[in-house]
Amino acid sequence: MKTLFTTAIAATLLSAAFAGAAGAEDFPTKPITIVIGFGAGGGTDAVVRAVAEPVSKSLGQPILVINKPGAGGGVAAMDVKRANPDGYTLYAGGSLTFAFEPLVLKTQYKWDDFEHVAMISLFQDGLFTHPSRPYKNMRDIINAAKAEKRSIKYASQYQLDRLIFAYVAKQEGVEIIPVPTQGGNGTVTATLANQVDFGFSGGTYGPHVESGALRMVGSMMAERMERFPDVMSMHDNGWMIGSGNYLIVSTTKGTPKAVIDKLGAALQAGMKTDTVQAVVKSRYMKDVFIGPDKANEVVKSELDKYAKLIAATKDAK
Amino acid sequence: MYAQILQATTNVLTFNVLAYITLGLFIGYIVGVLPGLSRATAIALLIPITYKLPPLAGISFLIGVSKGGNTGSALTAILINVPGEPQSVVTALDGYPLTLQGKAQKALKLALIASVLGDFIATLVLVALAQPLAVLAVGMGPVELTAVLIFAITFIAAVSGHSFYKGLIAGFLGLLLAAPRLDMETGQPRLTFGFADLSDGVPLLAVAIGTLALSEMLVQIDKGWRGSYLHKGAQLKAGTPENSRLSREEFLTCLPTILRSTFVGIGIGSIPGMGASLSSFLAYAWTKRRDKDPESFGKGRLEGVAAAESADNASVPAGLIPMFAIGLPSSASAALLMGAFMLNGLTPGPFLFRDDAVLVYSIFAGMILASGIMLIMGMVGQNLFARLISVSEVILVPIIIFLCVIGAYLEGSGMFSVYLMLVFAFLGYFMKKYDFSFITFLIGFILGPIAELSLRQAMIITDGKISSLTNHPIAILFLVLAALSIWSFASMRTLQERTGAAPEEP
Repeated sequence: MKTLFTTAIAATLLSAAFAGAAGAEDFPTKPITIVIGFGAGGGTDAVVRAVAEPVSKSLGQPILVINKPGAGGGVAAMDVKRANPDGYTLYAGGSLTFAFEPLVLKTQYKWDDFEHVAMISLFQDGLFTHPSRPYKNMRDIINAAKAEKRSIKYASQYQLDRLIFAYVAKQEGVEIIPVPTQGGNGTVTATLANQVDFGFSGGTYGPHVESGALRMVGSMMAERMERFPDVMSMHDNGWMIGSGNYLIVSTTKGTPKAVIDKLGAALQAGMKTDTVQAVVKSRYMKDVFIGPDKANEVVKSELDKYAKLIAATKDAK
Repeated sequence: MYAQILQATTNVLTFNVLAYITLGLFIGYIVGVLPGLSRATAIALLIPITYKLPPLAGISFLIGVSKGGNTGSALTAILINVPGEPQSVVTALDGYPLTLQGKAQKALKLALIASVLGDFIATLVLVALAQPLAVLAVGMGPVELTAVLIFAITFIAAVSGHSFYKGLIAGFLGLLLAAPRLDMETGQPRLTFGFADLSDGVPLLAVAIGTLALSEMLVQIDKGWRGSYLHKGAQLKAGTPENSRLSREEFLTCLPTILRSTFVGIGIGSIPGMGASLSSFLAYAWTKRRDKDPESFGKGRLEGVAAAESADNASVPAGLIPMFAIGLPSSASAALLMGAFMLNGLTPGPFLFRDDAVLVYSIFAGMILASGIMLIMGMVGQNLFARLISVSEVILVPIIIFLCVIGAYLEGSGMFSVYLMLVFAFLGYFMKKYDFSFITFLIGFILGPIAELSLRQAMIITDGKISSLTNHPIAILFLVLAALSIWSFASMRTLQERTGAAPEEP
């Protein structure tokens, strides 16, 4: 039994070494695994599963997509951190996993424990309300709360939106209370039930806004949303902050550059296919591509942005 | 409209579509039968296959998997006391005792008919009433959900086993187990002991497989060891013809239960965030409490099997109601199906009916047809799988343990889930030995996070003031029902104690 076990380990090591020796130009010589940091059925999941198809075709190897939700993508990220640096294990999920979570959770990884391959689209973080409420923008909500001398309640999804609205609350001198919900469907459900002033999500609102069941009142990003250009951004409201969550693909640190570039090119071509474009559109995400040359840089600058925001809200308190 | 329906029927009645529906049902059925492998995992794994199919075939295929899984899971629950899916745990409650009485065939037949009827009626409701029901379901905000959950929890006593207090202890243990995760307000880890794997809570499948399936294997091994083991194959043969047949009278006695439970399944299934396991539990508890002889439940009552199966299967099409009507998935498998829709370029919601009406009607037609195919497949399957209990345990037990390990591993968290499952297998084993209800345990575990989330949301929304409830009439209705439920239960118990018929405290 013991010898069998040892042989198995030796074989695994040997094959790993062999794969390494085979060199980047042959990459990939075996199936690739993509670990999604979030549950099945969401926007991240849909886009990643869609793009896996053309990428697999162009690289000539099957791609196994698995979901490993937990700790804001942290559980999946840890898997990739521990994997062999050969580009066969990829993380896919929100860039907040690297640019924000390490700032607020005791994560066992840092943003630079990875090679960030590419950002393949941008979530359009939007704010929406129930159409029976009279608000047309965020300013209306704040004014109404001030006039009625009450607090504002909103359907929140995670730490980042709470931080942003803690900052806004301080700036405007109103109380903004987050109602914790789970995922985009959670915030949309609470807002559809008309039990909060507004809700936040990264794209789940789309079809509901289109059908008239919800109304957009703002973008939570510094800039306006692609699909709702008339809706005010955070900057338009005079709040010099904003969220930004990219759909990112990353791999283990130390992966050869040639492998990363090959993956990046395959992803870029894959994102351009009609099926993937249709999925990105149906999820109300923005078609953005940031390749291997820039991806690390963008993660770092996002991280710095959020560190500043945290410092600013701390001062505020 | 009629032209569309006609077109839809023609679309479905092609060899290709029929073949994919049947294949989906078959795969789902097998996954359902096999303990450990879960329906949601199967759907997630099968979605990529549907990329290459036309939308109608692909989606019907996935819905088939979903439906088939629910029907199949009753089989092992009844035959060997190993629920194929967590929802079927309630089916095993009366199904397995029936098997021990040599009435396995009868229980299986009833389970199949109840499944198919529940599924069929719920599908018709989905087709006819999706829009208005979805509007109702959407009105259920956190405050209303909390009230419904409080009402549901008052039913827990009905499944608490022989001792009410032991049931309560098990229920609280389940709640405690639901506590480790990231706190929903602060976002900080709570009781995770540094395991990042616990940040989304203890994985459900690991707990369910461990306490339900693997623990039963331990019980069987233990019995064999002690020599008190009785070969069940012999019991099956002992089944006389009238024990195997489901008579007309028996079916008619169960029919009201089936209809009532289907109604429960549709109600619970269509509310986003409620989870399917709740529906079979509630339907069972309701049936038991209404019955003249509630004590006979858990000892092999046909109504128990009928209630659990019809509610469970009704909740599958019902779970699709909010998805079709407003684009809001109500369960994990509905979310997966919605993902599949979107990959096929379809956005579930009101526009689906406007833009792709023919496709929607085709899917509906396919679902109705699937109920019929399921009935035939179930009848054939039962005859085949019923031999399962004549298989020697020496072969059966290792296979099931193997499947349990695979299932826990597949759920996603890797070996961590497998180790957890082993721990819970022993917990389940001792709970069975000392007669602690593992159903209340599971209900506590499954409802814990849902109840905590909606309670905390409701507290924030109402500012913690009871007076704010006046804005939530539905919540008040359910709170009153909950009070009535507790009152009726308490008075029943007092009566039992007075007449000395109290069944607990050995």
